[in-house]
Amino acid sequence: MTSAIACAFYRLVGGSTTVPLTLGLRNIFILPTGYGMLFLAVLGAMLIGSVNYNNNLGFLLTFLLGSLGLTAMMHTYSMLYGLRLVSATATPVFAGESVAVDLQVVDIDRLRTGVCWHFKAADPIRVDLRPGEPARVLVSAQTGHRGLFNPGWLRVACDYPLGLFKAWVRINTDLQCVVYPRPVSGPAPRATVATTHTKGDITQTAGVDDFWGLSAYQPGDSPGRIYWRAYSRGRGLHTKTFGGQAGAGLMLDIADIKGVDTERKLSILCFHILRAHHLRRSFGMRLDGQTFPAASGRVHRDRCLRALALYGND
Amino acid sequence: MQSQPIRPLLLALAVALAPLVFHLPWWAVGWCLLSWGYLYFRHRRGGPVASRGMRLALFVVGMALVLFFAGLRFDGGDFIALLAVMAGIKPLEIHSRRDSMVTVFLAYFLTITSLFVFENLSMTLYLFVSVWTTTGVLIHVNDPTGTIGRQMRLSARLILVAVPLMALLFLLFPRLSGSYWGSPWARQSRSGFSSSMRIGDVSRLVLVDDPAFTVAFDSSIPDAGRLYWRGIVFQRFDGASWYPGNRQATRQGSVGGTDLARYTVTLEPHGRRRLFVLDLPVTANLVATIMDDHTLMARRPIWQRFHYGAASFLDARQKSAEGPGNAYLQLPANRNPRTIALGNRWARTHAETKTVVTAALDFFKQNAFQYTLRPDRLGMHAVDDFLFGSRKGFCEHFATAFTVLMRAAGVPTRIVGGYQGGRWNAMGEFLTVRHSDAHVWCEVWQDGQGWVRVDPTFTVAPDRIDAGIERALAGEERLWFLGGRQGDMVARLTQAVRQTWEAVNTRWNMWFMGFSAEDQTALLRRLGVSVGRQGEWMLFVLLPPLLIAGVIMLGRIQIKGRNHSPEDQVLKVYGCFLDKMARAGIPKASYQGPLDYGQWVMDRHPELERDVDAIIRRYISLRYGREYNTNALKAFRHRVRRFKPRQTLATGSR
Repeated sequence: MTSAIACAFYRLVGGSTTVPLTLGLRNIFILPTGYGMLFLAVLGAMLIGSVNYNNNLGFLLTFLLGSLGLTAMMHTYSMLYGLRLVSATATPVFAGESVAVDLQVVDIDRLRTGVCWHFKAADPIRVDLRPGEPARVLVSAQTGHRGLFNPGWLRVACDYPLGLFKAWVRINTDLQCVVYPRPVSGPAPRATVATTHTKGDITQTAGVDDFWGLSAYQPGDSPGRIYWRAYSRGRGLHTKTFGGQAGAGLMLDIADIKGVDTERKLSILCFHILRAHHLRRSFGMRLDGQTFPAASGRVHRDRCLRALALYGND
Repeated sequence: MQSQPIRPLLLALAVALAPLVFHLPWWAVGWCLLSWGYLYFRHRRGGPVASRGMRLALFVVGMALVLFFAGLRFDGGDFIALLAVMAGIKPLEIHSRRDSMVTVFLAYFLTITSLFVFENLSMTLYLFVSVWTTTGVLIHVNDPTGTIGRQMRLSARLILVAVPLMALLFLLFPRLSGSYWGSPWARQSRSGFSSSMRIGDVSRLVLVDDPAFTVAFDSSIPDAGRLYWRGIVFQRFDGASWYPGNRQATRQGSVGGTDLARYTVTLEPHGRRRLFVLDLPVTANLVATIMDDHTLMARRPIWQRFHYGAASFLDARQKSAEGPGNAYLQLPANRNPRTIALGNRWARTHAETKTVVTAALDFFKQNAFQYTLRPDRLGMHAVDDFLFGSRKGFCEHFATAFTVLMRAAGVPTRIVGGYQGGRWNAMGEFLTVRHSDAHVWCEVWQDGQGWVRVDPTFTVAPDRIDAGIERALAGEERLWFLGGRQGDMVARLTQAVRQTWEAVNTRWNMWFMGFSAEDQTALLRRLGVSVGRQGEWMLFVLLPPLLIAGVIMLGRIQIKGRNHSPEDQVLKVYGCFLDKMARAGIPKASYQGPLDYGQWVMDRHPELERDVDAIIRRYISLRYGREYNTNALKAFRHRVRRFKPRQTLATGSR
């Protein structure tokens, strides 16, 4: 019943809840916490005692604490008031992992202490926003299965400084995070495809099969290939290079995987895409109707994974 | 779980409890010091945490101590001791933020307790210090990573912002006049006149230097010789002590006069109903009644500083015509034969009341009586011994002897107890009357004039009335009385500081502590708001918050109620089982499901196999099975309740 009332109330108040937004009068709510109610009870007892004994000092203390509570309420409110959320983005993750939603907060004119951010049911993270530069807050949300994931309402809350009042804002991030299938190891679909090259014409390109030697490190090189031994001797960063056969790419086809469970098949595909990418091999992928020609690189990998994530969704 | 800021919390408690230290029994102070000291060092060096049983035992011991020392009467002092005991052991169980918050609220509550015990300016100032510290600690509890210095500054800022609102609430919040239960606080014996007077009581009272009351005059200040503060009238005498008359009626007639003094008295609490007024009172505050012996009685004993306005005619004439009864001629039988003989002789030789009085005063004057705080010991015939033997005495000796002489001579006489004089504080413009100004004098009935004041002490030591007691005593004795605080610069400076502080303090007491419902109505009227009956106003202020609180409570209860679904109960019982296992040293790891866990336990502890197997099977069927019935749940709960892994393991290993 209470949640129904809350829903009706939120609808009644209106106020902007979608990013970008400014936290203000229409969307910040504030209520006493459980401690606030306890504090109120203590104050009530004090007031009754003071009235009964007609003790002016007792009145003074009661009123001081009461005013202090109200002041703290304003203070709590002001911790959120005026903040501006300009963007919310999220990088894709694998199913079951938690997605880190990246929020950009600007217009921090004073120190905001103890601002808690969380999506439904997740543990809040507590951030002190310092004035001056805009801040980035990473809020994690637990994902379920692959597909498009909406983390739901983001709650920004604060009960600093006295913990007697809690101010909060409900924000609809409108995010659609892409959630890739969870990689599951399985037998690879054994179908190596010939590339457009003729068979004898094999050129030596960077590959994984034979060790060639060392070359100077370039940003983007896989950490697995850095020749750490040399680095530890102070000779700088070098990368081990291997030779391989260009064009000897994989063609990953969902039809080649045995089994009936589509999700499992997608997970196995995902695993092999990751593996191939890790080994720097080029690969292609075929998903029922869609075909991705063999290629390598991060962009290609992400395109394939995204297709896996959205498979059957449209 | 985050560790809680123990040391700031201890600081808050200590600051809140500090003013009460001398009011607490010694064992309660020791109790707090021991517990807090232990916690302080445990925080620095580490040490065992008090277990639940230990804390329970401490709680029981503390309660037993309180009850033992309180006995059957449980008053304010014992309540303070109880709070101190709780404040002592509460920090032992601070594990979560909730405990910390409750501790902070306890500190706030301790603060108000000390306010009920002390009502003065220093306590008012200390209140802000205490609230400042406690609020700083409250901020720290809510933000344990912040620096405490910044948090104390924030606390100060919050208080500064809150102060104007506090002042407004203080002035305008609806007040009720009168209290319901009377204060239970600090009912220890207070100095002052009791309901009887033994000869020698007043000279002991005079040694107390505390103020009895302070007076601010609306009219001009009467001269010292007319400052007779009337408190109690004594009628019966048993040879050693004086008692008031049995029948106390309210005054019917009125008094007339020309020299009217109007004043407000701030009376220090003395635990009795009597109030002090100048001779003779005309009108007084509504809270008091004027009795037919012209004393003033409040409706309830005065346990708190009390304010009342009064007006007196300094040259009052009574209009009552009928003479007093024989009660004012009563004398104890077979006592003081020589005095009574003297009185009888005067009755024969003097025809008029006036001349008898003069004869008695002359007797004092001519026989070298000495005014002293250290009279000789008197025997069975106390008045005879004084009049014809030692001839050294204090005001009560003179008044007693005079009254006995008069009564023996057939003149109705009574003794009035109260204070005489007072010290004028020019800075604060008020008169402070101390216990050292305590005095007794006599009233003689004269036909046509009514009761006439006669002060026999005045004939012996006129200085006592004109310049106060310090001058009236002989040189050596004066030094003794003052305790050697006179003469050098330092003493004079201390005296000045003391006077200033007293002035500020008393003015504060008069204005702030005396602020009452009547003052509030007056203030509002001056602001142009007329207030009707206060009860109605109270209703409008209290109802809305109560309503809101009720609705919220209802919501909470509903949420609570929903938690009692069958699944939750099964889970709860299962939690019990897991707790028991954990206490037996076989906790469930988070990755283990019930079946895995059961298997794992049975592998290791075969002696538990039967019970664990049964419990886990029941749990699975209840929680995940199709059928659910209350009987199965009951059986499951019963099984878990009877399951005692610790004992089973212990007997198994033996």
